Amino acid sequence: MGNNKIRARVLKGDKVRFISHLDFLNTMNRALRRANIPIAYSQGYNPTPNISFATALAVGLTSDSEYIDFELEEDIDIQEFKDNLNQVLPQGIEILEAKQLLSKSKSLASLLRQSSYFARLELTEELSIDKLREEVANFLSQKELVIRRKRRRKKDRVFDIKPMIYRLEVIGVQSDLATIEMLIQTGSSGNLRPEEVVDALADYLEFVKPAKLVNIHRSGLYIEDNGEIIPPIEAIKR
Amino acid sequence: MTIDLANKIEEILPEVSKPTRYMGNELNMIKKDLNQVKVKFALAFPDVYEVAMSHLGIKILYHLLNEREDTVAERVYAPWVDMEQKMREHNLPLFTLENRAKVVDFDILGFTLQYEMSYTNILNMLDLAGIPLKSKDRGEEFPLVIVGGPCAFNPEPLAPFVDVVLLGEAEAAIGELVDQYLVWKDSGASKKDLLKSLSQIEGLYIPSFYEIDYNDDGEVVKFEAKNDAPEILKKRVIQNLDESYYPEKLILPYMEIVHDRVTLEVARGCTRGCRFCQAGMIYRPVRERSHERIKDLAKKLIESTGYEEISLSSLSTSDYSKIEDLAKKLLEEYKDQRVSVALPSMRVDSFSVDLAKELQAVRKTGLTFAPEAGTQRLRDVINKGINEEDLLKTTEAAFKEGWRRVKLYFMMGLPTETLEDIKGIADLAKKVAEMGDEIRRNSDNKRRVKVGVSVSTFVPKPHTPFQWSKFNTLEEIKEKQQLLRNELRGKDLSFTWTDPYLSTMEAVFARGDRRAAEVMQRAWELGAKFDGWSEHFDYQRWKQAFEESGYNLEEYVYRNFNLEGRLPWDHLEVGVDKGYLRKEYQKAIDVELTPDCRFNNCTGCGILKNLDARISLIGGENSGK
Ligand code: SF4
Repeated sequence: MGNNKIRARVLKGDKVRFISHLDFLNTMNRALRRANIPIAYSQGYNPTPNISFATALAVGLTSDSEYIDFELEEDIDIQEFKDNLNQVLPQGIEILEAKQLLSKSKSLASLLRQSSYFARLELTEELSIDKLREEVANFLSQKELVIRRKRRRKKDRVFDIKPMIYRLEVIGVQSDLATIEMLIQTGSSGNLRPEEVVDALADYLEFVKPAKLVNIHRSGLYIEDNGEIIPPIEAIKR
Repeated sequence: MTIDLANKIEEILPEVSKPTRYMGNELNMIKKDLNQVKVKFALAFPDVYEVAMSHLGIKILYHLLNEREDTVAERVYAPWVDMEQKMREHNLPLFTLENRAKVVDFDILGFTLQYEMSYTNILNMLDLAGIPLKSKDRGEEFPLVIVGGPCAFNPEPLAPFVDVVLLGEAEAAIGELVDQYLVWKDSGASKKDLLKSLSQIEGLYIPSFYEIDYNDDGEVVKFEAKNDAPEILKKRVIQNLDESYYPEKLILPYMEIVHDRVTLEVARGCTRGCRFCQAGMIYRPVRERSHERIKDLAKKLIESTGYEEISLSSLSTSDYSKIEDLAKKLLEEYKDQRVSVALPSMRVDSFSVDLAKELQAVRKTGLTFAPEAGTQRLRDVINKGINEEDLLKTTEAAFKEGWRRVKLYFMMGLPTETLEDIKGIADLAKKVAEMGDEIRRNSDNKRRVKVGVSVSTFVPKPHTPFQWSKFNTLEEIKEKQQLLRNELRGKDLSFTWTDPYLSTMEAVFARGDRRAAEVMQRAWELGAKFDGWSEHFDYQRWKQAFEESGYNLEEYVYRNFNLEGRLPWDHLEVGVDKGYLRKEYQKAIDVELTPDCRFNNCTGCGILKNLDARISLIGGENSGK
């Protein structure tokens, strides 16, 4: 066992944006059974299917970059894996890409470093793209970008997110809606949430409304592989 | 319009808890073009999604109705309070999950009545839908409101609110109802004409066609059927369960629901004859599905859902013919796919620890037993033919096999009960715990034993031998619960009980009559809803509603039902003779047992002659044919 790992990039679309991470996991497990895919099970007290996610997606967001590693009991043709699974998955969930994975690779979660998002900003007034770009540049040129994160049953955490934002760009503006793209730090060594970036922006720019999760889409995850930052699916070729 | 509503719903979803409840779009959901069908049927359950989606009856009806090309069935459940608030704020009416269509635009709105304390949710849902609460205020332009399910065998507290009551197994009558509705719809006749024609279908009861009055004891003193409606209404049953419709696909919810597995009904009815049990009386006669059919259904249902567990369900699964055989075959068949098999509702005397061991190959979750009463005398009174020795033997075997958690279910407030019987509950539980602890100390598995004692309050139910029994007063219940709290201290014991106030309201409606309707509406106006949820239940509100309606809650709930008098539900016939119930009541008082007719002679309950039905125990045979 152990040499039959598949890594897949998965879509979590509009129709399923409100299902929780646990719901998503259960949905996947049941789809595997419907598709008759020989998934391997963990050993021990309460065996569970060996599938692991790179990271959980917050409820309300959509994503075309959910990465999942599947460990199978036997070899199966990769195209067949993808087709069979897609045939039984509910609307809104789809395997977009799948590749055979080297057995020795570490867990996705432990390699995760960055993620990218599109976010729609709701504006209280109409303004030009140039003006918005200028304001965003001003926002980023501050010495520090300190935010306050509320935590359950713990003291709020106050910290500077500036070093955690790698890129923040205005893509377009259409009347009172704008689209931005961001690349931010993700993973165990530091985790910034996209809505926190939008809220920080809204704090700074009075014409930007606070974040809504339904306005955010995850467009990419990136792992560290031999010192390089790459999408998880590319780590496989080596 | 519909598109508009759908969009507005989408907008408020991010602001409510558990939006998945209102999302629809689950795998195996059936969504039809509403303009392409003749009858639009909204199937409603007066509780939240997780509860509603766990109910088998509604699933069967959903798929059965959708098999018809001329009909669509869509689901609608009670929105949780936060969602309701948003809906009212934004002026959004109650909608169905499939097409997000307004419920008010449907032809038929059917509620299932599983629990008395969900009745106020029915009123609330009608109101949210923009449908007048009272049948007499609804013209042809509103949906026909029908109810069914176990509580429909005493629907009197809901009488003014519903148009039609379906008695018995809905699968047996729903087709005729829809057919008749179609004929009426094309004819352009009045709603009264529709109700008249429906009243001629066996199993359909039109409350507004009856004039009923009561005396202070709750006895019926006037009963008059109008419009040629029958004086006695018989329930409907499926004659051949093996050949009856069962869905081959089930909707697979995204969120976790209460019973999150394939539910496979192996049998209907129970012959044990426990005297408190309404299900045991109203679901007679007992009928089984064949092993072959069950295996076939299991295969299709696992294939269509991918569920990891099959539950073989019925009122008393251990009575099903050759249950071990069936369970083992299914286990073997699905071992590779890692599908487990669960057998709920096993009885102590027929419970085999070996079988349980196989079913829970790795995980040793808790085992549950239901001795129901603490002393042999009282167990004989209620005709629960279990003895202490059986219970101790089975639990001993279970502890020896490594189980550590045991749950014991009891009732309090049973007829003839004394504090001696209540103490008996504690004594029995202690005996089990002590035995368990001793086995633990002498074994390798040093995990401590846990005996959970769950004691609910007995509520007398219509159509049972105990339908005449007095309900315990609040003081009596509290005294008994206090006694148990004192007795059931100890490391390995835990004790849970039910809210005495909630049980009191349950008792009000279980044996309620038409006078209770007014009270219910008043309570709803005062804010009652989700009464079955402790965080929303408010006894004071109910007391107030009673007072404002000119009644006294205590007088009402403790009224004296007379053995000879006419009961508010006597015109509804479940098939068991009233004389038989009376005899059983007398035997209870005399502490006499009645044997199970499955293994012994017919006990003469009357079901076969009254319903022209037959018992069918074909589970053990090769084919149902
Ligand atoms: S065994 Fe007794 S309690 Fe259980 S369903 Fe049958 S009659 Fe009711």
